[in-house]
Amino acid sequence: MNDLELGTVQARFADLVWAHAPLPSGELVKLCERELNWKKPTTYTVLRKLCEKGIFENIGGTVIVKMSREDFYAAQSRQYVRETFHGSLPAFIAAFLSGRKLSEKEAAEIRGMIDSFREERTQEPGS
Amino acid sequence: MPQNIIMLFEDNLIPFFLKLLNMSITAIWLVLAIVLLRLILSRAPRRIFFLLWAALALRLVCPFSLTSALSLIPSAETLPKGIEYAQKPEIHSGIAVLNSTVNPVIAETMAPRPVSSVNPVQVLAAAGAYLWLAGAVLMLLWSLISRIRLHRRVSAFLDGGEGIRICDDIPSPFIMGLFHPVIYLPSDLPESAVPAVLAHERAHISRLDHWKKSAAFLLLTLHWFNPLIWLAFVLFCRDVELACDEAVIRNYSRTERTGYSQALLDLSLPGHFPAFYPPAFGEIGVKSRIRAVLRYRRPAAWIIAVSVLFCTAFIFCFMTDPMTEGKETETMTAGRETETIATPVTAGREPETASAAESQSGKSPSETAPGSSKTATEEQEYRKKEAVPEHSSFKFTGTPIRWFDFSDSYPTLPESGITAELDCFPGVTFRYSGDGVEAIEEESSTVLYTAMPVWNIYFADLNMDDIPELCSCASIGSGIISDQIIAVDYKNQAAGLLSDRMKYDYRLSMPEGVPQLIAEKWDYASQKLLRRGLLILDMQEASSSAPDPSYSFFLPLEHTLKAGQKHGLPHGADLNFYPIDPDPVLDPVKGVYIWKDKKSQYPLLTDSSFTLYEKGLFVFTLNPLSSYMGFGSWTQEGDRLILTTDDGLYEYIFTAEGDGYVYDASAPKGYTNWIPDGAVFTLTTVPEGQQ
Repeated sequence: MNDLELGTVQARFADLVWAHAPLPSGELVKLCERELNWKKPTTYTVLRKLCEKGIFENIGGTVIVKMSREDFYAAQSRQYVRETFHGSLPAFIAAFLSGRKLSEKEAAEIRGMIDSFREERTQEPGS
Repeated sequence: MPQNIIMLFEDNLIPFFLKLLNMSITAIWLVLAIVLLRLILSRAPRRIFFLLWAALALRLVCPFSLTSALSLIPSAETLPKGIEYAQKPEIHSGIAVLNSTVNPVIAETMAPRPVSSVNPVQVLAAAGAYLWLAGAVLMLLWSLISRIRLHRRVSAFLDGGEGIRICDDIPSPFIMGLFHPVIYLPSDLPESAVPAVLAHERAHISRLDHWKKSAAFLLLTLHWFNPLIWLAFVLFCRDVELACDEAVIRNYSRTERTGYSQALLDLSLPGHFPAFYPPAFGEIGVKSRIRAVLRYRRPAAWIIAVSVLFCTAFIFCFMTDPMTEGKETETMTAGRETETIATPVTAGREPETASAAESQSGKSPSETAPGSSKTATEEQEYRKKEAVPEHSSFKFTGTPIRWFDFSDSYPTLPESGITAELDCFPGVTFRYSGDGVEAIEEESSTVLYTAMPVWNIYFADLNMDDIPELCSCASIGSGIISDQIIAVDYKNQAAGLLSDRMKYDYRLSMPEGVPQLIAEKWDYASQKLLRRGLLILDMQEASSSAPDPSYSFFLPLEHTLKAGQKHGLPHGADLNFYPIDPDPVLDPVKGVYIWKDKKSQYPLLTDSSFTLYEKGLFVFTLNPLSSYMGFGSWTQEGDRLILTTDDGLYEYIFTAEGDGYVYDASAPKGYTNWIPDGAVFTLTTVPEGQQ
């Protein structure tokens, strides 16, 4: 499992932390015990794994977020496109849409997104 | 007394280990038969095989079994009971070829020297027992540790429903927990496979497979040294999976079955090292499982019937032990390399002493008619005795050899007598011609002693120079005739004697199963047995009249007794019984008490006895071959007899009952490992008119 992948269990735990962070680690332990029936060492172990992935950090007993949920899943998607479609976004979208047509609403949304991103492009090289 | 505890521990561990070894060897045959049956009955439903596996499990754990003539097991006791004490260790594997190749090797390398207390077989057995214990403990520890590590690994889980948990880091689904089994599923399990997996695991649980595998693993731990048991374990695990598949798809339609085998395929993992615990979904022989699932048909009635038949036959043939045949005993008593010795085993004096002990009516033991109390096989052997080989040729390998023993019935000798040769005396022929024994070398012959008759002659090495002495019991004298024991050291041309013409008869024997010369001292008048022990050389008594100190325990040949003459030999001369102190001849004996272990296979080897002397001393032997001997003082208070050893280590307590004593094992300082509580020591003889 690489840095941007989460197993089902880790994802569930991460969701919990994203929903309640920042919070003291002791409270996180109680939370996990209530929601997931986990013991203290288990919680700390999984937390450590996610800290190693750069998503959270445990500073002086408080758990804070380093990578938000949206940022994480966006990064994950980008990596997926990079690996599977050689970075070709159109190819990705084509695969996503294969056998499916865009509705009017979706087409309008995407056109709007393209316009806003195109404007930003002049400011951010190589995106 | 830590040494006592270690001794007690070993005394229990070693026989247990040997019994386990026997069970393991017996189980080998079962495993081979099961492997064969699995091949033959490959179409049969797997459930039938669990009967066989259960039978194997029973065999691996239970040392007892019924015997039957149908048994296909060569031998249920390859290592006979007491092999670690036997003077001539050998195996009874039930396979003649194996016996005859292995036993001579063992006899040469493992037989203990007669008077030493180091028994190689016992040392080996002890080493083996500790090694086994270490291996079993290691294996248990390893399985415990892996269980704990697995538990830690799956501590991060998501609840997946009743008894189901989902984890990130597991390669395949499995069950954990004996009493509250939980199904663990990998989080990346494809959705389509989930129903199949759950059905499979639930079937495992309802069939108690997690218990079966744990029990099988425990048995494997016990028998870790036996590679065939490992094979059996692997095959058993496979059968568990296959039977589980069968249970799941029994009522599946064709499409459902396809879906199930697809799930199997999806979950098959290449190159997965089989874990023994816990049971998993995808590991065991996936290809054969998929094939079995797709080919599954409800088994025809005839297949079931045939399988049941095979299994019943199996149970009869392999769950019963072979009956102990007469052939086995012959292998037991043969074993030395001789050309022709038609004279088989003599029963020795055992029946006579028994009658002497049980009825003190003064019945003369030497007149017990031979063949009167014998069974059919003994009767046959007795008849064989009539043929006496004229010439015998012996190879001395360290243990005593019987040339002949006519103690029970004296046959007709050939005209020219009977002769014998030994490999250690090249060119010498010993001859017994009815009135004496001579040694013939080339043309000349030397008379060793004259007697009429000579009851028996054995060759045994008494002075530990690796050359045997000729040991004989003979009736000597005219007018007053008494039995005496003579030992001739032909190599050194010297001889020794045990005789006391009007007071005691000395008799020599080598009872069946006891490859040791046993000497007995009988009261001449009443014919009661006074003393019995190993025939040894009394190293401590140096005869002052001997010319050479190294032969101090022997007299030169020219002093040997000729018929009717007594050459001023001191009483109890040079041959003796072991032990020596107190002096059995000079100190008056209050009584000799013997306990016979009725369960023992080697009666004389296990007789415990103690002798009480009038002057307050006692001698206590656990058994004739044990190097332990208790010496000390005895007191009697009321009906309590207390024997206290001089070294203060042991105290034996008895309760008087009639003429004998009953052993009280509750004594804190008693050595109870050999003698059970309540063992009855009967008074064997009270000598009359002694000193």
